[in-house]
Amino acid sequence: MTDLRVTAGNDAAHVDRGAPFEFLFDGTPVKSYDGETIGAALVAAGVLTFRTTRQNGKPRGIFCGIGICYDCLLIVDGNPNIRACVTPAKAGMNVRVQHGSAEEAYDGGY
Amino acid sequence: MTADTEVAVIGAGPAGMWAAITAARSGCHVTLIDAYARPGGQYYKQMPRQFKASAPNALHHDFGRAEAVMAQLQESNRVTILSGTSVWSAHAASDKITLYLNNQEGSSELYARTLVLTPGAYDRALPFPGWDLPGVMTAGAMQTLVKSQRVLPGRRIVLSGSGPFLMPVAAALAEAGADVLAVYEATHPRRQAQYGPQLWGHWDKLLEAQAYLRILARHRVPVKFGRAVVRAEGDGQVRRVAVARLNADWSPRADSEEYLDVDALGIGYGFVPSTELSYLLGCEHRYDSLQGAFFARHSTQMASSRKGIFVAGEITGIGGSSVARLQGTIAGYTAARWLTRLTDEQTRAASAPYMKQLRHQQAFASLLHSLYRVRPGWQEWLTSDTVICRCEEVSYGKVEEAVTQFGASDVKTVKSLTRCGMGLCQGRVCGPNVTAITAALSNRSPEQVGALSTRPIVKPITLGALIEAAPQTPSDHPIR
Repeated sequence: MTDLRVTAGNDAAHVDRGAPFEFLFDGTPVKSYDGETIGAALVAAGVLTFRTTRQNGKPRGIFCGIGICYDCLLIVDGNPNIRACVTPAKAGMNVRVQHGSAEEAYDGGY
Repeated sequence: MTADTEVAVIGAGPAGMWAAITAARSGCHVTLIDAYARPGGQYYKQMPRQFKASAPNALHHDFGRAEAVMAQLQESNRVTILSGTSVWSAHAASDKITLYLNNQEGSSELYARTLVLTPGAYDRALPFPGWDLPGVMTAGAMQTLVKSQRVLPGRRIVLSGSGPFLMPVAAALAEAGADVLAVYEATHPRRQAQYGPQLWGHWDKLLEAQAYLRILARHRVPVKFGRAVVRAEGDGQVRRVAVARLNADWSPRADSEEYLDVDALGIGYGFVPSTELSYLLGCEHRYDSLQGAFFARHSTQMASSRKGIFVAGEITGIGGSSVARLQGTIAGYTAARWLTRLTDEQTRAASAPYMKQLRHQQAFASLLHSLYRVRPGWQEWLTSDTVICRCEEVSYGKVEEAVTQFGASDVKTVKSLTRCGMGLCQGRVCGPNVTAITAALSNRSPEQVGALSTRPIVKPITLGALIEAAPQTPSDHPIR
């Protein structure tokens, strides 16, 4: 499985992430660690598409990485428009790709 | 919930941290508000506390002095730090400034007697075909992923842009184990040579640059000048980039394209200041043609055009962390002067040494603005269907139509006709590019076509948060 986390051999900062946990991304378990953002955990797992656009259904992912551009939006535990790049990952959260305006999130579908 | 403070500082990067500690040391009660989980801003962005890194400073240049100030801010009983808190609106009256805050606990108002705006900056991204593909991100996004989250944005990475920021990002990626195929600097090598002699005396900066270049050399990362990624390709995510040789004005040379297979592309063409609050509060701005952006006007004492509102750091001109730290310090003294904690004479005496250093640092910043300025030929990278406004999916063809067919000759009209800048990012990403494109197509200056306007709500918030924040009586309504 893809894991793009910086490995110990390349880590000048000597990070000890502690024990991993999982959250669900469109039903698939994704590994994460306390302190990681949802966006970083998904990028580490090789996931690049977080939403599709409202007009043309184009895939989008992390762009500015600092909470400015609102391109990396996801549905988290039923709440749409959550910025993956600045939102901490938590064990057991239910994360979904946000399609268009995320109308399904407003229909009580979650 | 409401609270009161003497000095509100918005943004805990170098400018904000030094403004806050200086005002606190001068006797003021300070509230430092920051959108991120830990202070430091983008320059001193820290890893999450939970990562338990035993050598966190190995990833930072010059972290020691920031660490000292962070500790002093934490310990000071005159400083309150509100992390993870964004300011979604603001209103200035004669006796107080009201800030509308939002964080995980909900919405609140903060009344401050004076305000120091240190909101920093973010990457400028120039559009090109395929820049909206997943895997294409700003150099700053890559830096945040690798330095703060310790995750590689991909395995085979190319960086393209202009300015010195590309070097530390490429170095951090290479050190962390990514295969950085190349760094493309759009500015021509001839220009770099021309500016060489003026670097005399800026030894700290030259040594820093040399350190990054040494890392890149060790990892065999080529740095190529006068080239840029002008197209990204891939089905669903970036797989390949086209690199073109550029003319001096950055227009691509015919038949000069070469291709590289990548899984991530980082782009960065300098920085754009966060000016939404300074616009909203009625501060005057100036257009800087070298930096291609509007900045808050200020006095040498860092006072904005609005009484009781001070500015420091990137909002005054892109200057980097040293300029931000020095301006923040001066703004901190001036805010204390405003609250009569210092006399004019004390303020002048305290600020003088920082002003002297500031002149030296600003000379270097001006050099970079001139050398690495965005040249107009980038607009030749665009095709009719290239996305300009990412939020509202407005193509270059639509903007072109608004200007050449419908006669729009300013940015506000282009916005009305195309929805450019009306999305969730509120024009933060496309704003400078829409100004540049509109100016070029209408043969007018960027000052004439202007910038996208700021709305009373400067950050997207939920309706729930808005209702929670609503004042009890309509007459208190802050939005005019």
